Amino acid sequence: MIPGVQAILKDNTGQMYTLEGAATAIMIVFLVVFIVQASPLTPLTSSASHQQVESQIETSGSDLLIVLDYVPEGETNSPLKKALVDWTGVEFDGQSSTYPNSVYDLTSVFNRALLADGTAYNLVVAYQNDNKKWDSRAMLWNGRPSDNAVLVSRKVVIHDEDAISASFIPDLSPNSSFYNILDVRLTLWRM
Amino acid sequence: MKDHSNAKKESERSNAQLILLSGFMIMIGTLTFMVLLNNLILTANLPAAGLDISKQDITEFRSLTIREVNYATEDTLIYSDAYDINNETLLREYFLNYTNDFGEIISRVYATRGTSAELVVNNVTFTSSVTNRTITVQHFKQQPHFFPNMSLIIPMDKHQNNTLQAYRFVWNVVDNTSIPVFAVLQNPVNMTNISSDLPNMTNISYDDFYLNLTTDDIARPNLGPGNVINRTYSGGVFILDVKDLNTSTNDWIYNESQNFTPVITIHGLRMEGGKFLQSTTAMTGIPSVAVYPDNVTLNPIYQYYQDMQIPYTLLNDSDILAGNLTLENYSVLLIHYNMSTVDVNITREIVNWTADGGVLYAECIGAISMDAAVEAVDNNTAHSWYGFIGINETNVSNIPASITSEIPNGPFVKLVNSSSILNDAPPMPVAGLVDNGASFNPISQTNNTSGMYGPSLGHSLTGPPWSGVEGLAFTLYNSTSAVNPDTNIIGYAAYPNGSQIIFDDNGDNESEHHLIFVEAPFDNGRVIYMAGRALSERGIHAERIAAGIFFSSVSREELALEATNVNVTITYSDGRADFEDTFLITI
Repeated sequence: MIPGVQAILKDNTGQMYTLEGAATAIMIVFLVVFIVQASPLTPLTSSASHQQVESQIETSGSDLLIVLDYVPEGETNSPLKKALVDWTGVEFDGQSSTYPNSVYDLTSVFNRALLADGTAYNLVVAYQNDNKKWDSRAMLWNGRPSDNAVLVSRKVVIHDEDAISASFIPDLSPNSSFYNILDVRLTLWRM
Repeated sequence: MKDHSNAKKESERSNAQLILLSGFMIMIGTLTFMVLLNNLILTANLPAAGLDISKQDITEFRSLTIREVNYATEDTLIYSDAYDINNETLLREYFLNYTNDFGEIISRVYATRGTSAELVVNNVTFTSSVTNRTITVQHFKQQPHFFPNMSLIIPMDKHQNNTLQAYRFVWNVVDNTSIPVFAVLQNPVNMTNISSDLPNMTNISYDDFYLNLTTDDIARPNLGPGNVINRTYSGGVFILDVKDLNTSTNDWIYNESQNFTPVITIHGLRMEGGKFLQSTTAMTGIPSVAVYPDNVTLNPIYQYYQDMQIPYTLLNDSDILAGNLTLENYSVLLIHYNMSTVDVNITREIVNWTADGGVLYAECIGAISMDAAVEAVDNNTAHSWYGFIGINETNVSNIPASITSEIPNGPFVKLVNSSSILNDAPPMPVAGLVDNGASFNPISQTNNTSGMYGPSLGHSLTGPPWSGVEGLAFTLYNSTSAVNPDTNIIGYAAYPNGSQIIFDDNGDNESEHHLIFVEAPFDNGRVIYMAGRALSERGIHAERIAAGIFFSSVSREELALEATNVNVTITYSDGRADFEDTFLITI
């Protein structure tokens, strides 16, 4: 074999430099990814550190809706359903005063349970219209949610006897006292 | 040699460096793999991405299904106050309409998030049995009800052209279509003609007397809009819920209203949001009416039903002694007769029928003499009081001349808002009588703003006014133990200005309240007394009482026809979880 060729074959310096370069690049990439994921670039940017937080506020929101949909002893409707039945369709923005009383009571609970903890929320009511297509209206609106917002929902069945105030929500069962189902969507995010 | 040695060292150094680098790369690879694996496990366990969401959805779907099946079952009971095979068919249809519509909408709710959720009702077991409601204060089922826009209004006041025959119209609607007719229960005791010595009666709400509705005087939309304005209704307006109607029944009802002379007035509710009413009762079946005795010369009751065209059966002594007075045959019995002359076995049959659940109406001398006749056959410990209610039949004859000269035609009936206003003893013997009075009571509905029925005008023509045997008023026994504690005083004997007639007619130096219109439960039945010769003489406001009693009778029976076992299957699939469950909902 030609001595020069043999030397080249035995010389693994190039391979070593390549591996060093690759290792360095990988380390730099991992470092950047780790830094980016480990801490949010802005308070409203989704990041790995938010996953547990999102999980927590999702659980809180879900629990809150379940508790609000509980019918107390001696009552006909839950606080959530009372508010939905009395609500006329008005969108309440920010921290404006809400009405009637049942909606005010509901808002107070949300504010105490969520805002005090630094969690913003929107409450949107989705329903099916006369054409059996989905429509939705915001009941409580606190702004555009961030990237790391979570959504929890609760389904509330409305009956004819409830005499719902929001006349734009139609009776989808004229032959029975079943009226419609409202999908109450609560969007939550960290401020 | 030296070069060769250096080259060898250099080569060994390079190999070592290569091994270190390779090791380092393997370490990074392992670390990366572990981080990825860890992330995978973490992500899978986060509620947002894992099975927790599916579990919550399935739990909610299942609980909503159980709740709505129960709701549909409870709702069907509204239609089940009287047994009828057509009602049973309606109940089945209604139940399935409800569950099908709920199932369809709930499926669409889940479909918006890409989830398939289906509800299938596999099998429903309906169980039926007729039971008597437990009789407490009132003998009818009072309930709130929501009436959607386009419901039909049958006025019972100045808006109605044919008030008395409107009852026959309602009767025919229930009989022919099995559609329940709702009576709005209002307070017939208005603020006018109130005696100053009864200040509690002034607190009557305008809204309890008048019902404000926006209505169309043309009830059929295809005939075009008529005069759509806000109207006030009083006197126990009837309403047909538009949800119970269809094109066929609408046509039938309209045509039937035209068969009367004058035609029955029907308005159409024109309120987009509908109207929720707190106090209604539904006539869901027609009562079977019996009148005793069959001698029409002694019994003016036939006049009421002739005026209203309501069918009834005349019973004679033989019919009752033969055992024909049963709840299966008759739910209402009206008596205008002196019961002191009646065979004790007939009285016993009447007492037993009433205790079983019959609604007994006695008027004139029948009301005065009934309790004494009952006491002769019913003196058991279960009813410690006297007779059905505790009427003191001996206290009606010593009327002071000053009173008879003031009201020679006899007293008016003044409806009372609450029995409690008469509880101040003495002179009323029983404090704490039941408290609904005439308010929201189906048997006292009237649009007469004075809250009064006129005197029995014909009485003055038949003999000396206020003759005791004519029974123009009565008093209760002046002893707590002798009076049915659930007695409800609906109307007292009044002067034309509405003030109550009170005087001492038994010489005990205590003035007695003189009453005309009372009611009380008796076991499962109900007894209604009306002093005075004939309702017809008091005007149509009073005559309506004979029809209002229907509600006491048809609301007595409860057909417990309900879906007792409902077998359903729910299926759920969202890409993360596939779930199917077949289970039995026992009501």
